[in-house]
Order: sequence, then structure tokens, then C-alpha cells
Amino acid sequence: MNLVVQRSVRIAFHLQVLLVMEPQTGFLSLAEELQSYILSFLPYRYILRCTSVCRTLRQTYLSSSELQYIVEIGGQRLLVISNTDHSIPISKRLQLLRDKAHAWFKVDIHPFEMVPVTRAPLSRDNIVAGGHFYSWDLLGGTAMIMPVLPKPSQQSVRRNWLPGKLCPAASWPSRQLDVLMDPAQNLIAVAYVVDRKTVYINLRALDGDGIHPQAAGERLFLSDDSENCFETTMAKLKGFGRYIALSRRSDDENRTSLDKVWQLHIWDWKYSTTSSVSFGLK
Amino acid sequence: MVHLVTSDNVEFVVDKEVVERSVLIKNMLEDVGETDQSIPLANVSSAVLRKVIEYCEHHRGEPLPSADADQNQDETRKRTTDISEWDQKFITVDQEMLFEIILAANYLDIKSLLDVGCKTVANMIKGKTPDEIRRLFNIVNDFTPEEEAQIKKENEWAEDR
Repeated sequence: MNLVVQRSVRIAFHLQVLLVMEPQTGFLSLAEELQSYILSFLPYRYILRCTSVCRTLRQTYLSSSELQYIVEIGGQRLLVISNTDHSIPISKRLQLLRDKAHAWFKVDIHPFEMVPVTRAPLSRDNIVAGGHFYSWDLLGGTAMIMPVLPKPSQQSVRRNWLPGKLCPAASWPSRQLDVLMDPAQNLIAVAYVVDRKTVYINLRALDGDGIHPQAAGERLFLSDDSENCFETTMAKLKGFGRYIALSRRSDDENRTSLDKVWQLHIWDWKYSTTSSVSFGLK
Repeated sequence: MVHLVTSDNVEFVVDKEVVERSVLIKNMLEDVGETDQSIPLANVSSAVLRKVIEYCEHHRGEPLPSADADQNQDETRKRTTDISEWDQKFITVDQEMLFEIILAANYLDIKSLLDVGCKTVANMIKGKTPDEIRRLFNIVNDFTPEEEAQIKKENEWAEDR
């Protein structure tokens, strides 16, 4: 009798355990392939979120090339073109993507030096090109060239390019109007005005103080500057590869009228020192 | 007509055209040829098979996706979790039935039904935080706090975009 009771208690206990332990069909009870198949319908960021839910889901992610491929594609902001050749297995494609991404990680950005950029609002031009940061401070008359990701061979350059130094021929009352730095061409071009009217542009090499080796000459001239009775008040330089463009505004010299002249000049600076194109607008 | 017997010993008699949406059964029938013998489905209960047959009845006559087309669509398909209106209504079931349908569709090899089920689960996950996902599926967080912090840090980049 006692035994029977004990046994039925034990059975009841077992039943209870079974009821509690009975694995309901839930997400985690699905086979790993089914779990990863479901996750493969998700945008990459939600796939990643699932990896921090529990160990099982993390393992599912880690053993699925496809899920990692989706994340890699999304992370690199790439779009998959449909109907392309699928002959490369997904694991191989994942590897290719990762190798490409690792090229970025190889760049060591930690030694990057914080450079206080003083008077930033006055700075006319900040350019990032060719791995360098170029800053021109018009009022301070200084230019700074810093490698963005310094390598041993690179140095920061800080020069005083005050008008006298930059344009040796142009002394007072000349006035510097604008500076163009084109790192890709190793070019620095300085536009300045002499006698308030005549505008010149000096071309130099960025890496030294000498004349630019490819330039047609040391100085560019405006072709129709002779009978100008207007005072150049504003000028802007732009570079487009082998071309340099200058737009300038001139006001009536005597200030008797409100006449203004807008001009655009374009040089092929490796070929000629005279502007090949010019447009005027009164 | 084809005779199917479920795990709980219920017999279903279904049109061949309907039941052949299951690649598993289609292949079986091709192997065996015309037969009056019933096919035992040890992994599918009658409640689930009823749903599966309802699905196959509705989609009767629609072309089955070929293996080639499937491969080509694969990656573009992944981006979309659209489900047609009828399928949406059909798949509005409790979670346990949903997973049972997914298991059955996988076992019976009914690709379109498998996708409907999996997309539905994906839609449930979409937009939820890890904690909400745990609550949704009744999952216990088995990471140590250190591991959790580490994973969170690893995934940070994707969150602040």
C-alpha cells in the first residue's frame, strides 16, 4: 500500500516534470538551418540584434555564411544585383567582401594627432584630397597641409604664405584675392590684384617654393585687362584638372555709378598663360 | 486520390493535384506509382496537416517554383517580407501552430508555404530589441553580463546608422 502510494506520487511527479519540460514548438526548437533561413529574411541590423538574444541564436549566426554575408553587404552599404552569376559560392563571396573591408581596418588611425584649427570660421577653404587636409587661412596668411592618416614619410606642413612670400613680384599695394590648392596636381595658385585693377595668378608647386614644373609659365594673365577702369573687388579661383577658372567682380573705380562687371576667365594652365575663354557681364 | 495518415492516426484523402504541391509526396508518388496504400506522415499531426492541405487547396494549379528560378530570385527575395492577403490571413495562427506549419512545410518540401511561415516569423522579429525578441519567443538570456556587453559593443556600428 505504502509502495503503491509512493509509486503514484512518483508518477505524478514525473508527469509534472514532463509537463513542465515538454518542449513546446518554439523558435529555438527549430533546426539551425530553419532558424537561419528565417533570419535571412531580415534586414542586416535585425540579424545582428538576434545575435545578442541568446547563445543558440548567436551560434546560428556564426555558422551561417549567408547571414554573415547579408550583414557584410548591408554593413558596407552595398546592393545586390539580382540575376547575376551565382557560380561563386556564398562563403567565397563573404570572404571577398571581408578582405575588401579589412583593407580599411589596416589603416591605423590611432596615432592621428588632434590639430587645433584656430580661427576655423575665417578659413576660406578646407579641402580634403589625396589623403591630406588642406586649410587656408586668409586673414592669417597661413596654409596648413596635414596628412589625414599620417605615415612615417608624411609630415604636416605649415607655411606662412603671406602675399610677399607667395607672390614675390607683388608688393604693396597689391592684394591677395584667393588661393587655390590642388593637391592632385601639386599646384598652388594665388590670385592677386595689382594697382587695384590688374589681376595676376601665380602658379607654384605645392611641395616646394619653385615654379610648377608643368605650368606654361609662372604667372597667368587676364586677356582683356588693358582698358579696364573698374576696380577688382572680389575674385574666386577654382581648379578643374588642367583648367583654372577665375570669376571676379569689378566695381566702377570712381564709384560714380553702381556699375559692376562680372567676369569669368578660364585657363588651360599647362598650355597657355593667357586666358582662353572669358565672359563678361555688366 | 491520395491517402495520408498523420502522426495521430487520422487519415486524409486528398486530390493528387493538391497534395503534389509537396515535393516530398510528389517524388514518393512518382517512385511508387499508382497506389491505394496510404502514406504515413509520422512528423505531421492532423491539426497541422489540415492547415497544410487548406493551403495547398487554395494554391492549387499555381506553377511550382523551379529550382533554377529559385536560385535567381534568392537574393532579391530576401529583401522582401511581403505576404499576399490570403496567405496573411491563413498564417494568422498561434505561435506554436506557426512553427508546426514551418516544420511541416520543411518536411513535406512545400517551398512557398515554408516562405510564408518564415517571413511571418521574420516580420515578428523585425523592429524588436533583443529583450523584446526574448519575450516574444520565451527565450532565456544565457549570456553573462560581460558577454552581453561585448556583443553589444560589437554590434554598435549597425545601430547608430
